[in-house]
Amino acid sequence: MLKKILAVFAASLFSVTAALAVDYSGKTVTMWIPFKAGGGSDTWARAIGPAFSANLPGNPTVVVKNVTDGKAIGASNKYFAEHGKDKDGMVVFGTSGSVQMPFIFKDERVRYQYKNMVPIFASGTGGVVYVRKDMGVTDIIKDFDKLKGQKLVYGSQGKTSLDAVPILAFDMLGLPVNVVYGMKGRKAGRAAILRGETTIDYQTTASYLKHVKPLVEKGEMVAVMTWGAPVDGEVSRDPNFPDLPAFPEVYEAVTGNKFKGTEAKSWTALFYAGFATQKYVMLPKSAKKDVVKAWQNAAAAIVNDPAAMKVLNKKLGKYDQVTGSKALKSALKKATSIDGKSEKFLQSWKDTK
Amino acid sequence: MFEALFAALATIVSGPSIFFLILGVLIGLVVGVIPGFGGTVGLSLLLPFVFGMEPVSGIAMMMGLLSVVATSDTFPAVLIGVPGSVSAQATVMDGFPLAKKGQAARALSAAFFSSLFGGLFGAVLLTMVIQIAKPIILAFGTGEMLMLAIFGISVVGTLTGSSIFKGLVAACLGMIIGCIGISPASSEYRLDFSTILEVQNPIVMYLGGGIHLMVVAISIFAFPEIVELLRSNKAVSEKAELEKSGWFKGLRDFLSNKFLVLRCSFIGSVIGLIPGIGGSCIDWISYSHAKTTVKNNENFGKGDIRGVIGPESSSNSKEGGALIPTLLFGIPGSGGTAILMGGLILLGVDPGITMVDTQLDLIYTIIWSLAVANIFGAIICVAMAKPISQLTTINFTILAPFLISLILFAIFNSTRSWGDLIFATFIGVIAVYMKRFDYSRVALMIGFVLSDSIETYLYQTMQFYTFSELFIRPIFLVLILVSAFSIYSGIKIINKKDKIANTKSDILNAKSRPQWVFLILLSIISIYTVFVTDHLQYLGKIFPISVGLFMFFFSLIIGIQMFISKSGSKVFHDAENLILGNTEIRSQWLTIFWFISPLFLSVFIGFYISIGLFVFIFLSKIARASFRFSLVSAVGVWIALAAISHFMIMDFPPGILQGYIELPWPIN
Repeated sequence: MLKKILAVFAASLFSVTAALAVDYSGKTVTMWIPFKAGGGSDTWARAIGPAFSANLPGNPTVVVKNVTDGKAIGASNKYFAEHGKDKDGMVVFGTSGSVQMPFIFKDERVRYQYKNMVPIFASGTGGVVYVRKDMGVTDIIKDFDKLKGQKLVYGSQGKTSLDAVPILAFDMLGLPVNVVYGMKGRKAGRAAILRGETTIDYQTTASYLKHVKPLVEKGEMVAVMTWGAPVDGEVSRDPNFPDLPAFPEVYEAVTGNKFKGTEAKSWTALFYAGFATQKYVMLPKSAKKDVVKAWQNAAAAIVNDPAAMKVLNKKLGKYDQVTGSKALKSALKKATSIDGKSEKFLQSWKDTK
Repeated sequence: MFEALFAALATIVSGPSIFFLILGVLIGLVVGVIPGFGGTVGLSLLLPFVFGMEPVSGIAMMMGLLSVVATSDTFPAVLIGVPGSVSAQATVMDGFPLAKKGQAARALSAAFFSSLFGGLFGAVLLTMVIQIAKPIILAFGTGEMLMLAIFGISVVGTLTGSSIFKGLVAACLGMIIGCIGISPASSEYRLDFSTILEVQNPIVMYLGGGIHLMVVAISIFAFPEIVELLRSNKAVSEKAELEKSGWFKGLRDFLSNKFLVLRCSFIGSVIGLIPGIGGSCIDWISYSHAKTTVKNNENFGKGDIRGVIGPESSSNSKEGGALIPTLLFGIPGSGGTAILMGGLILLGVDPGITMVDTQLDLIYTIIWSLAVANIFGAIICVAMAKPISQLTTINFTILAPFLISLILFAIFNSTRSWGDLIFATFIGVIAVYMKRFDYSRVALMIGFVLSDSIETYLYQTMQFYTFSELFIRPIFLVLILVSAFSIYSGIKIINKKDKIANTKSDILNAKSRPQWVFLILLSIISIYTVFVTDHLQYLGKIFPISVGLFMFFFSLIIGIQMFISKSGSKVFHDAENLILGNTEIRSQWLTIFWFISPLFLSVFIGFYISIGLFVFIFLSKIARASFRFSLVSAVGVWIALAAISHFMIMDFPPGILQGYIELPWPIN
């Protein structure tokens, strides 16, 4: 009898200590995605969800919850209102460029603060700028004046969306691009250049490889530059396209200026927020230390999961996934904080034409 | 080519894929029947299971679902007057009146045969043109899309009630509702009350996201119908006995209108083929086409079977069309195909230009799945038509609480926001009066659906083309002719209606005060629109201000007509006059109050508790059902909602109670 009691006691003691360490067995962890099902961020979340499930302690079921109430901004605000003080990491937040951009442009509707968040995992992508063959351009640096003399039309979703990156880039290069708004996403922009209504366009890496590269090979379109990729804190050539110059490189070559100053800083901030580290899995800062640790360890393990990586690479292009506390913190800082001067610049730039 | 085609058929019907296809079909049928759930919602439910599946099985399951949603969504459209998904909006127009006449089974089976034919037509077209469709799709630039949208608006004339100006006011109101949210050309927030409220106010946040199509579609059509049925306290079908050979009659209707079916299937596929115009106005276009091209169209809107056959043929054929740009360019042609694309990517299949060259077998798999799923879907639906149409003989007061719960849930599911419920109630009450005073609700819907397209494409066309460039584009010119013809036939139909309207009794058209109140309310909305958009950039305000001014102008004309006309003139149409003094009919406001009472309750105790409670109270107090039946029903609704909440990972709106006490799932 005594033995039995002792055994029960020991067992309960054991379960208490086990409960102290993070264990999600039998639980359901939710990834809060402020976008509708089937879109880019949703596909991304559904690709990494099972990988997190396999690598978190206790192998919880990971479900994706698409919150669309009030669009991206409203749904992100709602996350912070409802889960901003959570400790247990049962509901994590998945962001994307469309959540970061309004934050950078100081949209009055934004109520979330990136400094109250702990990043767990980040994925990045890149972008390729291409023009129609009939522009007669093959090398943007050599043929720059030729390009400048053409009728340049770009189809955009809006100036404070991800399109801030291309539009500011065109402005900085001094390209007289007529920006036509009202495109519903990059797909519509691509349809417009196929029809010949626009003449210059960009696509994110995965979409470029799938849909535009075949056209480049057929000789209908010409790729001219990429936005680049972060290498040791600098924006350098994109490893997916080593033969194409990155935007900063083009800027220095055609303007003769160094890629420095407020404009360059502002563009770099937009680039990090919209491309280099575009999608984050985050926990609120209130989460317990070992919860954060457990999630970060799981994230590190995902990079070694070939099934998840295959989908991610297909979705975003082959870019490094950012894991590890230090790398993530500096990436998030780059993507969400800009100095006062750049902020002022972007505010006034936003309102010009 | 043929070898590959039949090899693909073999992969579909042999092995495990056929089971997944049927599974997809079954889920699709269920999703189609529930109002508010369409292919978009259904597919997003499947996505988590698709990840990691074998590609052919995954494709079969998704295509099975997508192909049949537009088949089964006819059930609620015909039986209760609520479109099951977006593509059954027009089916309500004649399907529901047929059900009232006791011919529900006939309407349903004619609809299913038409759907089947449309679906197969889409699949055949897809097979034939997939390899040559590229230039066709690219020939449709923004100018052509603008003309298509204008063509869509032009059918308002043929569908509107007896007064053209009332129809135009309604269309303008629809466009104003469509303007709510972010403007396409200037990315500014419009009509979100941010001029008078603080930006982070929940109302402003909700409106800033724009209004979801389903919120408008359900509230504008279902709300007034249900209020009316509840008031009369009868069954949907005015006959207690349904006609015997309903489904056979439907088949005969289908066969004798084969050319109409063919034409409408063609319209559906072709418009579906063009990305950017969206499937939501296709059924209106084919309904209008049916109405204008058949002989003896006086009974359209009152239960003409051809008004069911037309839109149903096009609603299934459009998926085949919409798949073409999706597979060719990776540019989805409809909401459903957009999610299908997400699913294909999860399966490791990337639709795009190279797919036709390198993965033709997968394309054929998709086509066969579409065809086979349509056949399965139609067979199952035809088999169910007779028993399910029995529902129309039950007294409506018993059905009402279930329907009201279902509709509130469907509306909430649109963006899962409290705002959906409040806005839908607002539109619903307006719709009750629109129906009463003969302002065309269809016109409002079409205006709403096309508002964004017209604004965006008008602005883009002006940026992309000069006039001389535009007027040498052949398709553009053809579409101008088509629109002109559509307006012409609209005027002809209205003139015919004029004659009929003038012979109607004076009682219906008696003068009444609420008419003036309603007209003044509409004018206030138009003036409000003009004033609160005036501070925006030129590109952001030009469209809403123009629409607002037009709406005010049309209201003014109606006002003048009402001022100078005598009582008995058709401008005073008021359906309420006919039932004045009839004591068997319940009061209008009381029924509206029942409709919104569960919402009112939710404010305090949360949506979940309040719905079950509402079902119980309504059944036991108003429908006078037995205590046991009421209790079982309430618990049944609770279980159903809990299951949905679990599988769809959705929370119901909490009330004040939940703010104070921590409650367990699902009532939290």
